[in-house]
Amino acid sequence: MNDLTDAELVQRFRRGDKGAFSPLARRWEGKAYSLAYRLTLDAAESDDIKQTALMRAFKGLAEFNGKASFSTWFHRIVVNLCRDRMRSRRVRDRVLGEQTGDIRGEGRFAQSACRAGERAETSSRVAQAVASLPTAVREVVVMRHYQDLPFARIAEILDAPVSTVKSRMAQGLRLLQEQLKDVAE
Amino acid sequence: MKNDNTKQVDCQTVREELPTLLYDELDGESRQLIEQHVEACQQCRDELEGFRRTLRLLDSWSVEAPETAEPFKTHSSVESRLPIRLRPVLVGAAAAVIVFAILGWVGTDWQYADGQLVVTLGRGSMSASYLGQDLNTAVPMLRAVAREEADIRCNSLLTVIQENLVEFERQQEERRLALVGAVDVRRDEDWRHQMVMFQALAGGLEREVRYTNRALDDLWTHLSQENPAISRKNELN
Repeated sequence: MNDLTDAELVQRFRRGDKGAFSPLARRWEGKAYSLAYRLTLDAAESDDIKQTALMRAFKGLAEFNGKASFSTWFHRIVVNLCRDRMRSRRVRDRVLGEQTGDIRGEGRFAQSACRAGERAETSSRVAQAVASLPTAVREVVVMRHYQDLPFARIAEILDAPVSTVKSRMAQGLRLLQEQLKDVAE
Repeated sequence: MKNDNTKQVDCQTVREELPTLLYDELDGESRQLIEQHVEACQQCRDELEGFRRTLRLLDSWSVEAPETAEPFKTHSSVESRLPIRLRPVLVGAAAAVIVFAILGWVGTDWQYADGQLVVTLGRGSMSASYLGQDLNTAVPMLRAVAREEADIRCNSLLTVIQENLVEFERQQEERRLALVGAVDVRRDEDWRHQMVMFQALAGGLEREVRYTNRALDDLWTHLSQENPAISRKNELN
């Protein structure tokens, strides 16, 4: 069953073959994790997002209309989950910061970025630079460069015009260039 | 614009398209246009080189799923997310399903006439019939069919449990987001809610098992009346 396309597996699943979901899950769970990790920089949260995304896909696949590809639909689930988590994390950090008199403005995300990069200086700087991008820009950079999704597909996932997606990518590269100008290759 | 070669497209447009060029997503004509412009325009060329360098730096950040990351398993992943207090309830529900699988069939029809025992088990496409004299042959066959039917019911019930859990998880997530400003997210309340739902589910399973037991008792009472040689001990063997 592993050599079937996503569309074929989805079709089987919708006909009642629940087992067709396993190859889909195996195929996409790694990508879901790496996308979530690059957007949240939190390993535990990324694993949780991956599992939740797969569960939502499992539950929603019967109603999946097939207008978009499975890949687009699934990426959209992951991105939306990441946005929710990031939003709630920002609120939580703000509340906790106020409660404890914490003056660290960067919140947990930037701290995670520091931890994530302890292994290698360049990698660390890149992680921090990507983490510092505005969310809308970061999503495009991560999906284009690390998930290897074409701009048109990213536009579908984000429900945005292709020109906007390209523009965000260019903006992201300029911001990253500025942040990484003193990093040796 | 630097010279006549770059007239067809302005710098702003080119710079927005540079990522498309770098990721090789431009078709032939557009590519040629952009490349011609870059060739002739130092500023755009500098920007392209800067982007190239940035992309090479981005490559240095690799992410691999940690070994501890769980592979996706619909049942176990759901169970592992349950609060510890809920797990015994799920185990109880699973035990009830197993009991049901061993004991149960619903929709048994049978006759005993002219020394022939005719038993029809199950409904619709899952039905099976036995015609013969030897109850010792009938029982294992009926058990096998019952087990098959029970497996299907078991899977169906597990799907229901799983779907409920997904729904619980969704509700929990919504509540979490709504309450995220507070340190205490009132998890106890969510767990109690889930506990009630599971108890209701487990109660339903128990009722099915009781119903099955009654059906079995009726069958054996009737068989024993028709043929005193048939004993319950045989069935149990």
